[in-house]
This record gives sequence, C-alpha cells and structure tokens, in this order.
Amino acid sequence: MNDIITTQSLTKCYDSLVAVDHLSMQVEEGEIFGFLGPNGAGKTTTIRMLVGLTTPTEGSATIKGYDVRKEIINVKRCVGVVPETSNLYNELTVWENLRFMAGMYHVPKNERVNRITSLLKTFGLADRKGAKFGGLSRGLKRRATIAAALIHRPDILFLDEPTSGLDVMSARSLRNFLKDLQETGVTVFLTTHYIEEADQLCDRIAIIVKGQIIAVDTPENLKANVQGTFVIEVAFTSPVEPKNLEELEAYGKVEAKDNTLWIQVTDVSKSLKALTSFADDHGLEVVYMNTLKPSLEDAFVKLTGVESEVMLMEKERRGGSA
Amino acid sequence: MIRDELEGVWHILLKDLKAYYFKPPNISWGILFPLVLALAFTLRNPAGLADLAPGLIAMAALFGTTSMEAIVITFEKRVGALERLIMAPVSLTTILVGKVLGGAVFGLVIAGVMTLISLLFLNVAITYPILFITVLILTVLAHSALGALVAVSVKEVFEAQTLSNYFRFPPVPDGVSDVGDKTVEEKFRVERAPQKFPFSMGMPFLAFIFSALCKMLICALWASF
Repeated sequence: MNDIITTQSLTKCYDSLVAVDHLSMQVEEGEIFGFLGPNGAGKTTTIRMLVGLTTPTEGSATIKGYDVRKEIINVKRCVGVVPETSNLYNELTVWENLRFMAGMYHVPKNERVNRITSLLKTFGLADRKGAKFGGLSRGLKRRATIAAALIHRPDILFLDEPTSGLDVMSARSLRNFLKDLQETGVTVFLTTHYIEEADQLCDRIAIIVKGQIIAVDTPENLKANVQGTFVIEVAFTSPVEPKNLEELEAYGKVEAKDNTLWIQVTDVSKSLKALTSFADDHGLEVVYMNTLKPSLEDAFVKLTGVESEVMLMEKERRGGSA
Repeated sequence: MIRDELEGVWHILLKDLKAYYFKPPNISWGILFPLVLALAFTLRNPAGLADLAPGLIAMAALFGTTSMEAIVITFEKRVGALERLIMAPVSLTTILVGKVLGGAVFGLVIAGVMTLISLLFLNVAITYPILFITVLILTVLAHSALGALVAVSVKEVFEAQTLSNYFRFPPVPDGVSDVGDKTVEEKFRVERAPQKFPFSMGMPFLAFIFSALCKMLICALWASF
C-alpha cells in the first residue's frame, strides 16, 4: 500500500497555544483512518491544515504527493471535505447545492446531471432534491453535505465528527456507507471522539491528545496494550454507598453509575469472590455480573490518561449518539 | 487553468445572485431607499425632481452594492459557508472576484431600474450613454469591492452594517448637491431660511407616514416570500 497522506512535524500555533504539536504520520491508500481524541486535541486543526483552510506554522504535509503549502489547488482537487457543521447553502435547494459544487469542482458538464442523480439516490435524497437545504433535518443535511463532498469523486474523503448529532439509525447508515465507500478505493480520514465508532469503523486509529499523537495502530493492537486487564460489570438492586466503594478499590479501579459498577481487575476469580462477599456484607442483591474483555476505551484511557467520562460528557453535550 | 478559474467566478456569481441578492426584500430595499430619499428632497423642492436623477442613480448603485456585499460575505463567514468556497480548487482571487461581481451585478440592476424610472417619469435624457454606462459599471465595482473590504474587517453582520455606514452615508450630500442648481452650501442655507419654516414642520410627519408604509411593504414582501 502507498502512503496517500504524510505529515512531517506538522505544527499549528495560535499565539501561545500549540494546537497541533509536531505531528508525524502516514495514511495508507484505501484505508479508513481515524483520529480519536477529546475536544481541543487538535483533530479539526489537523484536517484544516491538510485541506488548505489553515496554513501550518511548521512542518510539512503531502496529499497524494502534492505539498499542501505549495500545490494546494491540486490537493483540493483530490480531496472531499465534510466539516463538522453541515455548511451547504441554506437558501439553495439540495439539487442547486450539488450543481453548484459540481461546477466549482469542474465536473464535466455532460456528467453533472448523472452524478447528482446517482448521489441523491445513494443518499436517499432523491425525493428531497427540490427542498431548501436550510429546511432539512440534521441527518438529511449531513447526507447532503457528504454527497456534495463526493461530487468530484475524490481519492480521499475527510470527515470531521461525521456522526456527531445524528440519531442512531442515521449514524449506523453513515458508517455502513463509509465501509461501502472504502470498497470503491476511496481513502477515508475521519475524526471522532466516539470510541466505539472508531473501533467499528477504522482500519487504523491515531490517538491524539493536546496536539500530539500518543499511539497509531489497528484497534486490535491498541486493545492488546491492555491485555491481562479485565472489567467486571456488576449490577445491584440498589446503589452502592460511595464510602463502601473504597473497599473494592483494593481490587482495581472502580467506576459507578446508578446501580452498576465497573471494576478493572487483573485476577478475575479472586475479584469475583470478593464481590460476592462484599454484596453479602452490605446486604446488596446482585442482579447480574459480567466479565468484559478490554475495550478500545480501556486502551484509550490507559494510553492517554483521559478518563472515559470526559468523552462521555462530550457525547452528551453534543446531544449525539454513536 | 484560467478556464477553471473563470468557471469558478461564474458559479460563485450565479450562486450569490440566486441565494442572496435577488430576493424580494433586497430588491425592494435597493429600490425603495433611493426613491424615499428622492421623495424627501422633492417635497422640499418639487421643481428640482429631474435634477435629482443622477443622484438617485448614484445612491442606488452605492446602497445596492456596499451594504449587501458586506452583509453577504460576513454572513457566509459566520455560518461557515465561505469555507465551502475556500475548500474548492480555485484561487482566493477567483472567490473574491466572484463575490465582488455578485454585488456589482445587483447594484447594476438596481441602478438600471432607477435609470429606467428617471427616463420614463422624470423626463431626463442621458447625454453621453457610453460614458454613463462605463461610470456606472466602475461605480458598482468600486462600491462592491468596498463592501468586500468592510466584510473582511469584521466578524458579525451588524458590525458590517455599522462599518459600511461610514462609507456609504458621507457621499449622500454630494449625490444631491445639484438640487435646483444650488450647491450643498446654498441648499443648506435655504433649509435654514425662516420662510421655509411652515413646510419644514410638515416634513417629519410626511417622512414618518412614508417610512411606516415602506416598512409595511417590506414586511409584506418578506412574509409572502
């Protein structure tokens, strides 16, 4: 596989703030590459530098061999960009928006109608082609924005938080579409703070925190970093008193939400016995108890030190679903 | 390459005209403002109506371009739509030319309507048509570019409107300076003359009625759209 995106010490500073800090990476042609990290990690800034919306302060980057500093028009010809906020023109219809984008990306005139029709069909927008973009639901706006980014058949599709704010069905349908798109040979570069999404979708993931890449690997290899660690999920009929949780922390890190506890342990059998006696001692009745394999989230927490709650809060704040 | 850039200019121009400029509220504002201005001066000096025609056309060109151009670019910056253009494989110059031409075409159309009204109803004639058209084109281009300059200097739409006022209002006295063969100084002297006092008292009332009617008309057009 050839590297289609390469960056060398790519850096972006805003006054004293270093948004992206000497970032070096390679993305292979045809893969789905995920940028995983909390808000403010530098994910969007990296995309903005790669597509020519922001000039790097330092370092270099190439897209399909074109230097993003010197050959930005060639770079723009071979990339499609779906920003976090759907930003087509509210005042134009879906059809007019796509026709405008086809014109801006120099799609041959005799192909425009066929391409637009085909994209509208693919994204289930054929019956809404005459609707004003501003009047569409968030999910339909997202689909129309992705359709617009694909109008010129780019080699690389950049998506910034593609499922943010989408309902479960729309998010799932979008993920399936991205998988199908990958089969046509398009390289997909996406940013997300949904750990499950990155796990399901990406061939490789780069974990980025404070502008620096902490790890780049396949989801399986990242999870292997936390091999030997298990999570026991246990639900009781009533919530556990916070002061009693200290007893369990001797066996591993404890997280609690409502009636459920998650305990990160290394010795499963010993911990299960301890939990049973803990329940008896405090008069708690166990509803269910599960032993979970380490997840990408566990790997993320171990590698970055960023608590999964932080990511969860972001998810809730954005009102989205993964 | 040049063909691609020209195609980019063309598409941006068409998009802006369709999405922003040729909307009933914008057209009505572009036409109504100079007409109201003309009416205000005509009420003071009914005999000088024909003399107002050049100022009327100039006002239409000025107000039709500067403010609209500034608002359109600032609005697109605000909602992120301008980034959509920057991501396209065209140069920044192409984007700017497309944007400026959009405002200029709108100003040209509004000024054209004013010219037509002047020719049909004010009994005026254009002595040098080629010179008139050349100057008009240069005027709308210059004012549209001024609007773009205002837009890149601010972040919010209301800031664009405020800042563009500093550019568009100072030329207004100049636009009507030839009322009744009088200079600006002479005109202002007449306004202060005691014998005009009774008529001046009626002006605010008439202006208020007309302004209310205009607002109602704009609201009705906006609602119907």
